[in-house]
Amino acid sequence: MASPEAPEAPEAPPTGPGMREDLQEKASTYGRVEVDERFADLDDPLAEVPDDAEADLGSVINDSRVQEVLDRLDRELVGLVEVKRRVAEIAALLLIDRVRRTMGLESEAPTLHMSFTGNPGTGKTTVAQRMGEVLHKLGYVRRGHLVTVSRDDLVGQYVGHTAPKTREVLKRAMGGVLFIDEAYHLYRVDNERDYGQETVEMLLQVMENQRSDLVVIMAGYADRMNRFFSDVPGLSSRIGHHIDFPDFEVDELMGIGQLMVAQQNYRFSPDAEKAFQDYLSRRMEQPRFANGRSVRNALDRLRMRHANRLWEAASEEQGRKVTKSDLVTIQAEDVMKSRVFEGGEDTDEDTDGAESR
Amino acid sequence: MSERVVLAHRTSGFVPFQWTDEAPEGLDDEEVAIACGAQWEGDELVTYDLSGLRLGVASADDDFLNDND
Repeated sequence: MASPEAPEAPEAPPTGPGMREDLQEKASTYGRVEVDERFADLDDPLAEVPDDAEADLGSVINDSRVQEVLDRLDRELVGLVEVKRRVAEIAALLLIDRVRRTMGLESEAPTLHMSFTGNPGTGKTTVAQRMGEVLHKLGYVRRGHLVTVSRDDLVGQYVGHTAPKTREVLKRAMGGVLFIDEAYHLYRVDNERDYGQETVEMLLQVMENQRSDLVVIMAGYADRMNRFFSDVPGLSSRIGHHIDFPDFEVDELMGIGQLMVAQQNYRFSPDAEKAFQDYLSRRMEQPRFANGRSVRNALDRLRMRHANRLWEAASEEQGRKVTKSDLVTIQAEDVMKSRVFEGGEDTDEDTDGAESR
Repeated sequence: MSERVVLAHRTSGFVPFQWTDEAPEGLDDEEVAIACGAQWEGDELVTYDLSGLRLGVASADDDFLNDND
């Protein structure tokens, strides 16, 4: 009786030409060998370029003009050291990638979808705007524009309304940055019939498939954003950068104020400067304080009081001339007329755009 | 001949080309641009009829054609 046939031992994998095809065949047979398809046409991608090949990094940096955007961001935004550092790191990554590409060292587009967490007025929109410019200058997106939306722009009010709305926004944002303010409003965990879920699903799909040419930035309060990420599985992992925008310290707010005053061709008198610092210390302890936005609103009111003071002086004294110094100098009395100094809660100021803290 | 307007140029970045500031708002598709008369000349996507292209893009975007009446 013939002995049962012993199973054939698998052959040792061959080397040299044909090795790859063989590995693929084996992979399909045994399911154990994985071949990276990205390198399908290259025997050894790193060996294609000699190690001593050189690129002129300085000229790539100059040509991209990305430093101009970073400098502008630095000038425009007081403080936020960590945020600026992260933007610079992203710029460096894309810049070096650009240099690598000149040597044929291709790599996948990095995931640059982001979440910006922080209170109102901490500079999230400004950074998003500059981010769009950085991404455009470094060849990550086709336009670099910023499209700012909230739930109402994305989610419909009846069946069949949401998908076209979301699609339209995505189309508008393609080639740039889609900034979704208070993104947690998109999804209402307690309402399973909420149309926002459809938007979230579409966003997830786009964020996964569109790794370049569109950057989605989801922004809002840190605690609510964290809850949103826990409620929507797979969202947080599709976001490559979680950036926190801290509240400004009083000195930083003062710096913002001085910057804004100079931009509007005004200046503080020495006493007004002290008074404004005092104003900020008091104001930031009150409700509805919105960091940089509150500073801007306060300055608008200072300009109004300054103008009113000059007008009243002219009314009291016929033929009175105003000097340039009068026109540009904000005095302490312009600041001290604020209700903040009366000790009570400032309920009328900063109502535009500020949110509860 | 009408003015030559550069709509996009090829890049070595992650995206194959980038739109210029001349490209009309709403134009986000190379194929739409070409269907509206644009053409690649070397590394530049150009049109010689910007107003016609604008109209074409708007029509494609809104999914309807203007009534000539």
